[in-house]
Amino acid sequence: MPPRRGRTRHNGHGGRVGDVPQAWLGGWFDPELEDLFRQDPALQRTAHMVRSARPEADPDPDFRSRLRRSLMAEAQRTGAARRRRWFFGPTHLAWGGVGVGLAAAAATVLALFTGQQPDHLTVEALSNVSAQHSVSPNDVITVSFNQPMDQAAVVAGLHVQPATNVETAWRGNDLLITPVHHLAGNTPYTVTIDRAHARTAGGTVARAAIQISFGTAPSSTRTITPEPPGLTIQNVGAIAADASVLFARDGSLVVTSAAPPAGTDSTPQASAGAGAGATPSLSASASPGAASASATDTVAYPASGAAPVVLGASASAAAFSPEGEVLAMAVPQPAGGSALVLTSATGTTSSTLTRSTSEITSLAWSTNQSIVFATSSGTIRSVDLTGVSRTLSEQTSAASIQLSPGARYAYLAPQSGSLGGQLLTIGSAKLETLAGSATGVAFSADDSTVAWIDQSGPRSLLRSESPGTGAPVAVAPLDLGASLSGVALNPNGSQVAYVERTAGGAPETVVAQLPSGAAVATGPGASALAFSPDGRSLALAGTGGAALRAPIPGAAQLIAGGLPGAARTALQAFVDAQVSGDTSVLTSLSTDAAGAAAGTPSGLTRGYVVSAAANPDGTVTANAELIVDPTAAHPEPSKLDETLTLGRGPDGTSYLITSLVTDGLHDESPGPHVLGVSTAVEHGVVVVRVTFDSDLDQTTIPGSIRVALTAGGAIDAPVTYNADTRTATVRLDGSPGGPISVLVAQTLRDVDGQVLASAFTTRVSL
Amino acid sequence: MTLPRAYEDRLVERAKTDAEAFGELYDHYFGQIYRFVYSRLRDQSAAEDVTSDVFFKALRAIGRYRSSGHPFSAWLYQISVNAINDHYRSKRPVSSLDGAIGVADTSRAVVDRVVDQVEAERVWSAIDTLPPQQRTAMTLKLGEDLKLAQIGEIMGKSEGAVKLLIHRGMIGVRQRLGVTVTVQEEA
Repeated sequence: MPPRRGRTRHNGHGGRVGDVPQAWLGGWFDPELEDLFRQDPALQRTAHMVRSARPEADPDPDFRSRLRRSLMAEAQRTGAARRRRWFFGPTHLAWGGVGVGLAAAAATVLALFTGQQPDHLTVEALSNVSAQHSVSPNDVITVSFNQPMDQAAVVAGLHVQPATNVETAWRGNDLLITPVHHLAGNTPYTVTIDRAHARTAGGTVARAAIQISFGTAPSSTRTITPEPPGLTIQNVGAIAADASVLFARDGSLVVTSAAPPAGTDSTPQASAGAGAGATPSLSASASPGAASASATDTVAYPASGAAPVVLGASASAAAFSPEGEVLAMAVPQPAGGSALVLTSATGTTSSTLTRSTSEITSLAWSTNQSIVFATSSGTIRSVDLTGVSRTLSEQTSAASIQLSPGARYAYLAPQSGSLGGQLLTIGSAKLETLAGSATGVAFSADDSTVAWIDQSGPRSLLRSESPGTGAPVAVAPLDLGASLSGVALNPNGSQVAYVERTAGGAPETVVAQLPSGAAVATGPGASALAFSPDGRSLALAGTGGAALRAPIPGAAQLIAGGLPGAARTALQAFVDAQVSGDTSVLTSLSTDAAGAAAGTPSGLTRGYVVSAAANPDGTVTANAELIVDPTAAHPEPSKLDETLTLGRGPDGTSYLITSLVTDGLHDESPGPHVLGVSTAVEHGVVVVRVTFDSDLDQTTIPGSIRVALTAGGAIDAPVTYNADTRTATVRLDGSPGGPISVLVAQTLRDVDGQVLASAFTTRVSL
Repeated sequence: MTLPRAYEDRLVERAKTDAEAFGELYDHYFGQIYRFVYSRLRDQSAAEDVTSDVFFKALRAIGRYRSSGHPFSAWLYQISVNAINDHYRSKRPVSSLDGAIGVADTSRAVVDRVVDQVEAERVWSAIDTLPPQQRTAMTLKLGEDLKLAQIGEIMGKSEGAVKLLIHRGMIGVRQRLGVTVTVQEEA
């Protein structure tokens, strides 16, 4: 390093070095040292010598940039919790009266101006969203200046990336930027005011452009999508309080407790014992052990609208056999305990299979020949159709036990007042805590998915996961802040139904997709919910004592070869874990060969699954995108595209990531990007939806978005565009006749004229 | 560019929860801290390591920072002093007393000799051989031009104690450079 002589430099504390620069021994003078060594000129000269010889320190610019990036990544990774606390803190409400009401959320954006008046030497611009990563898509972006600006110039220099139509307004020195169609969810944004346009009312121009970087939270579906359609409710009959509902294979709706319909026969008598055989055999002989005639019965309301049928006495639990021919019911006995009664789906024959001295609280068919039941004493037992019974597990500490439909799992509810029940894998006795759960978990009919309400935080959260993986995903409820209850899953875990109640509002039933939480339909509140075996209808135990049923509008048919709900859930949980850096979850959701932890960069801000498709061999191929939000130091978002392959786990129901291929983090190209591709069969029509992050130039959509057979061959189908959701919809008239792919060409442009960032193609599953 | 004090205070508060604000502090103070660290270590690689350490420590601790009326830089310098001491504890100094004084040439005026890069190295190597507190005080004063009061805040000492350290340090440098001085030793 060359020596420095007589060089002055800013000391960083309010003035030039020494405050009183004087010509002394080559240009440097420190009055404190001069005073200190006033009596010793030799030491004065030594001081000057040392000062003059101080090492030149010219840091490597690359090092400076690298360190900054590392610090920003660390700050963003560790700052979220602090930021949340600060968000509500009073400290920053004081500044200058700017952004009142929004200042609590204000982070810094700074533009320095050269001005003549000392008070206006620095112009500060603060935004309510800057450097935040979970901005509500509904938020208005506020940029608050500390002095009057040239309003027309500032607005003229305003740009939003991804391209977004905005409306602007001024409130004093605050610029209010309102997106016309809301912001896209889970998306990094950069708002820029060009340097040349960032000027004060007095004409002073900024030294640099104003740039605000932030990211949005995953969409709240109510605010982003049009209001979901209402369920078309059909009142099918009466139901007692606390009764449950279930569907028979033929579509009849069964309620486990209801007043006997007028004009029906009383409870059929059940025989003692049941014969062995491939299917349960039932007789019509009398059984003294069956429940006595009661005020309520188990009643079936036929789908045809025919007269209701009494299937037996009121039951504490009931389940149809896998083939749907036989209904097993747990009938409480007057002297205590339960009788496990089998009845035909038509209710014409009945028999008692076994009895339990403790009340049976849950039952499920593990096979067509075997029933598993749980009792109030904490015993889980199986009994086959010959009456041979054995104890599978004793869980005496559980407040109650709920079995999964396939009897692979049992939910062990915590004692009243506690949270965090456990999921027991019955075969292996493995236990897993379902965070924040109390009562009322739900399983899909194929046991591939479990959903529950996490009540551990200030807000109820809906969570779902592949049982046993320990990797739940959070499902955004329709209304954040609502209390949730009555969760039910459709047969393959691709949809969930729940009841939400907002403060002061009426309860509402919501049917939503998993794991996105996107609402499919809403309806009146209910005390219990159940999906039909084909997933196309919902049964509701209405709060007014009525059993209700409703077709689910737009419900996807459960098509063989479709994308299983368990795969969707595993995918989302895996991408979530990549973003959070949870290596234990990455490991539990992937095979060793996938190298998931090593293949995932650190410092990610967000990620999402773009598309997924089932393969003929049972595996699933998916595309996901991982993003690092822009910062002041790095104004472009960084992204990483990855292709994931999923295969069935050892248990045969869950999915694991078996391979992961990424292209490495790189700057995101400008222009619109595809956020996601989804498919559904609605009223017999295959519907493909492609969602973008940018407001599109609608004139460029025709011809730019196409659907084709994966094997080759274009499919001629009209494309419509919903500007509010930035979604293009392709409706295929008739079956495509094979796997299909979605293609988006770079002829597509956004409202700013930018072309699609890169040509897009993906294969999709129905 | 100097940050107005009120602005700096607000910026520091924001930096407790806002990465961008911390980035702005970094942008402003990086040069100063790097220079100080380099002045003490005079090795680019080591200076980069220690500077990184300083800012990461600052980032992790800024939530606990409370303004004591002194500039924010005083706090950063405190961290830097500790980080440099940690560095020295983990690695012996590369300069020795012998190396610092081995080529002393009293036939030339010392002031004239500092035009030579080697001489500059030799002068600051002499500072390296001082006791740690003298070394720190000398570096902050002669390397960073800080006020005695600021140095006292950084080192947790009174202004008078800082004067004493600098005085003793200057005598030590003078001796190590081979120039004999006669001074009254402080108590």
